[in-house]
Amino acid sequence: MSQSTLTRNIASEDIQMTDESADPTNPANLRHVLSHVPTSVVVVTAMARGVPVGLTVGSFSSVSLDPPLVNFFIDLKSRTWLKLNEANTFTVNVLGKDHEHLCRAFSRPSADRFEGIEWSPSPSGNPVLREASVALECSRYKIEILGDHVQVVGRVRAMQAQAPDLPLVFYRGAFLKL
Amino acid sequence: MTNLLEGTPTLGAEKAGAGVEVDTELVARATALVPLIREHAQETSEARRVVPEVMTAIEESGLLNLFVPKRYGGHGANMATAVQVISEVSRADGSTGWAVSLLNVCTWFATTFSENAQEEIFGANPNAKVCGIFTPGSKSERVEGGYLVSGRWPYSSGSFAADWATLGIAIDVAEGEDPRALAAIPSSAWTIDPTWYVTGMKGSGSDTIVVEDHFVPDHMVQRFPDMREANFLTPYTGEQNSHMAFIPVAALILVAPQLGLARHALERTRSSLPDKPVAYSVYTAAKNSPTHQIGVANAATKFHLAELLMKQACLDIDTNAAEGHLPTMEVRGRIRNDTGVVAELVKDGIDALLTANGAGSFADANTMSRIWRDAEIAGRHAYVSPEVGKEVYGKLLLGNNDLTMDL
Repeated sequence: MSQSTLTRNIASEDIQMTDESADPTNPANLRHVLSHVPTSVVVVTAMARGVPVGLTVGSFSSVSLDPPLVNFFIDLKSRTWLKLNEANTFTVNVLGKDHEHLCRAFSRPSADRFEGIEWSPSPSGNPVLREASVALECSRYKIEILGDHVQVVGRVRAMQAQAPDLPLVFYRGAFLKL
Repeated sequence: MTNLLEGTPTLGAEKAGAGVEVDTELVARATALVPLIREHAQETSEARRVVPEVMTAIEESGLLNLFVPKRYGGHGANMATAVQVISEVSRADGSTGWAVSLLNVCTWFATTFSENAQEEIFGANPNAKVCGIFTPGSKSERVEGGYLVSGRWPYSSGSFAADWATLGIAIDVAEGEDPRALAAIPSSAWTIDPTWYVTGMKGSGSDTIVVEDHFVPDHMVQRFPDMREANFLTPYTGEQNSHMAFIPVAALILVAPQLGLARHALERTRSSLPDKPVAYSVYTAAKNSPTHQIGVANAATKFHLAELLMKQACLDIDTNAAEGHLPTMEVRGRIRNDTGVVAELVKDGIDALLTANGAGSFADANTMSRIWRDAEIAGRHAYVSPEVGKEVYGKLLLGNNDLTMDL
């Protein structure tokens, strides 16, 4: 994505919708419109039966200060969710702007995800990615099914800031150049 | 006694901790954990799994191996003790109590398996925790030396904390014989599909165990009809619990959490209701209102009746086990009947207490609403269902021995 793309008038380009493209029950339309909302990019990791698991998540956000809560959403059809669900804790690795490769690595087929990735164990053994800018270790706080996704709310138990990177931001189908 | 040759010394003759008396020291350990379990009760429900530090505390207090023989470091406790421990845990939180109840009873099932199976499970890990489901899975194919097993076993309470599961399978038997059996399968061979999205007992982790083509050797299988008759494969027939009545225990243990929920509801009512004004009435304190006095007395009476029925059923189970035989069919019928009646009495009593406490009891933030939801769902377990229990007991009382269920 180039700088010039960002300076375009989004409204004139995309928000003019025909009746048909304005139908929110069509997933493609909804996906397209919501791509205008910038999202953070994190990799959620855990140890499931002694095996490291991880997946890229684009729906991470903070929830509450007291108690300290964060959350994200996973597709109910995700195989990785089944593994993540078996772990008692998980770690949210927030990615910085230069770490697109991590986002891609954790979107690969499950078996390959940790290939070539440097990580060390968190206090409860979850993989902390060396290049993550921030790592948050969480316990399960609330699990709720919402539509075709499951909401995972975590209580932050420990956190570490590793690098003061600008964030990796996903916007309109690509990474934003900051 | 079964399978004992004349003059053969009885294995595991030590009976301390069994008998018919309640081991009050073990119950006190559960009582001591009530504040910790309560502190995490809401999170246990929301996270749909007992909070890990709570499970750890319960395990470290030695309350997950109640029925495990002393030769593996367990307590070899009797039914009366197990019920009181589970009731106390459930007085703190229903979901936690349910998980503790199921883990203990399924772990007991595993201690009745063959000596080889026991060695594989408890010899390797004396703290092994077992969950389980009776219903057969979708496939158990006879292969050399065992069975190739696949299937989905929903409602596997406590599976999140279990190292093994005793899962229902159908084995090859002669025409007309009962093919049901339980297979002990290690957690490394299964995955958990999170399916337990329900109204009550949310934190019991009663999710679905999924197994795909796992080989179960013959020594890890025990026939269900043999278990029903207490013809267990364990050679340690000197141990009291090697004679416990399988079906009565499997049913009755499910209403131990109900007693705890009843105690909790009454405890909360007695602390919060007395000085509460009765809205739209002249009573400025519920303790002066006859309606509330009678409502609370009715509930307490139902709870007391439930406790008494439970005490009698435990005495029947433990006395017969200590004597080395099954209770008579009629007593087993009564225990199954009373299992349902305990559930019903507690559900009705809690309902009356919610009425006495007022509509605010149903607020999400009010613990009474969780107690109510837990009791309603627990009281509807298929092994508890009062109607089915009354039907079978009534049949026996009328001399119709054509049973419609296992006893």
